[in-house]
Amino acid sequence: MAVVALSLAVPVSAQAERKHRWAMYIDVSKCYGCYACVAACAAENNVPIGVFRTWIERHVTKGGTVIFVPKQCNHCENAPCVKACPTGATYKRTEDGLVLVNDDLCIGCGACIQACPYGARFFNPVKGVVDKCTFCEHRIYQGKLPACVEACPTGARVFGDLNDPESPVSQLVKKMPTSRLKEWTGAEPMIFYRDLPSEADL
Amino acid sequence: MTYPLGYLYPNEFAQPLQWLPVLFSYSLLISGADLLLLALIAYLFNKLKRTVPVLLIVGLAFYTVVLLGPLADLRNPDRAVLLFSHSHLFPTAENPGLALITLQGAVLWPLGFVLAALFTLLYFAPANYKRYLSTRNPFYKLLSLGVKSRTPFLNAVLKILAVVALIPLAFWAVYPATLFTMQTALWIWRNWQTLLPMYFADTFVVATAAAILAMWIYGIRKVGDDINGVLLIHGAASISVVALLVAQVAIWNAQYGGSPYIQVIDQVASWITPVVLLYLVTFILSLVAVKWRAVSLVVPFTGVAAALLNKWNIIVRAQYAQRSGLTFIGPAEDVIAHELPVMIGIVAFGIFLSIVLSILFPAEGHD
Repeated sequence: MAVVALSLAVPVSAQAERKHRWAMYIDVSKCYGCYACVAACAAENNVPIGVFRTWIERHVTKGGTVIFVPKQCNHCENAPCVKACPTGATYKRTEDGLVLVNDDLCIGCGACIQACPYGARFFNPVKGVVDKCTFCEHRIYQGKLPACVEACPTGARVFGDLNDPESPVSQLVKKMPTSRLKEWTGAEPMIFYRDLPSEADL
Repeated sequence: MTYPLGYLYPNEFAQPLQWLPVLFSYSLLISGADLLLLALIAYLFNKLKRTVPVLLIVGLAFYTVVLLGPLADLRNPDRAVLLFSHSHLFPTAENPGLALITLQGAVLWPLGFVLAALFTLLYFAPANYKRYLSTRNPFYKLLSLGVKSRTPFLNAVLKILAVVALIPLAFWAVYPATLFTMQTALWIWRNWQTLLPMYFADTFVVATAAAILAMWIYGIRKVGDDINGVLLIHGAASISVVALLVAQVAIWNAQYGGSPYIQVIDQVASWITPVVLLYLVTFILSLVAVKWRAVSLVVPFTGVAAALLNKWNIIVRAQYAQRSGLTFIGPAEDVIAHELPVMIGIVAFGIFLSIVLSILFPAEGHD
């Protein structure tokens, strides 16, 4: 089952060509909604108040159980936001698959915000262009973890390279049953959830 | 603001409306493309002979200014030129796919403009040559492009131009609807199956409303029985919109009746009742006006009122239904206030261009 999920995540061509395939594994059962990741992300990336590169949703199941689900940009393999961008400001970096925004090319049309099925994009009122999670690409190539991962007190977030079979994220995605958000969109997100409640997949 | 089923998509709460809707809905309400479409179709079928010149002049004027709406909608309008210099038209490894905004803005609009302008110039060329002969003003000779009379060859060229121009103009007439239907995020748009055909029918409601108004301004007696044809198109388009709206409500009820989604759908569907009533009024009036011509002066206003309410519902209110489809954020009332001056400015520019074009291409002068 996990193997099927992994093979669906990245097209075969991309798996072979890319140097890295950054991905995140989120164990929903370990998140207790402390917002440390939200605060760390905002501090690390100068995210203005009122908008979020990452956030935590609080859901209540029919049985009354409260579940917290961290969300952010999924750095989709087949990203709808990249296709919608009229100037190519939003692009999928070929060497590692990160979905990034070139601030110098963004005209602020809002097409990517409308196209993102996850609500992960927003206009940054300070920068004046569209903003979103970058998987802390300025940190990961220095050998550090993304700020949200580093700040998580329970280890609910695990980040790594799927091209490295020994990386924790590869191991977890292979061994654990995972699901991804809104698979019906065909976006092929690179964030794999464990114990994702159906209420969070709307 | 309530969060009935969890804390969903907080970025949506910061800015629920992504395309400043007033400008967008206005600019494409009378995009000019619809009027030009009507003119070209009428020309191809040899109908509305006395109305085609007016449609061409007003259509070209508004088509020329239509991009100002989306331009004012950009957060960085100074970078609009990037749409041409960095067009996302061909898929690459970093930028797969093709951006609809680029296709419409950087390819189809210029193409439509060139074809429509060329058609208009050639259509009025013999009349302008006559004006040159009577006034000896070289400017009119320039406008005539050297065409001295309406020859079979000219007619053939005009027909070819009309057929080719129909393609970009038809795309532009339904531009917003294509944007809405192609995105995967917003729940209401994603579940509005009749949106594209409804928008296309609505194009003709607005185009004919504008045409009828233009006929009254130009002189209702001069156009003769041409107005009856326009009124019938208006009526047929109106009743088509009604049918498609009613069908959509039925589809929603069949798909989501009894589920939590229906509460959000109701927020949008509740506006559909007055919209349908207005379209029915304009439909009935258009039929009545065929017999009693004076009534036709009311038809443009009922038609445009119906279209305005309908598009406000589609473009603005549908965006307040969240991506999850489970929450309706609620409309903000201050949307119009700061957009109104820009909106009026664009309309005024369109009217100004119509006046200029009517001087260059006098409707009385064509063959």
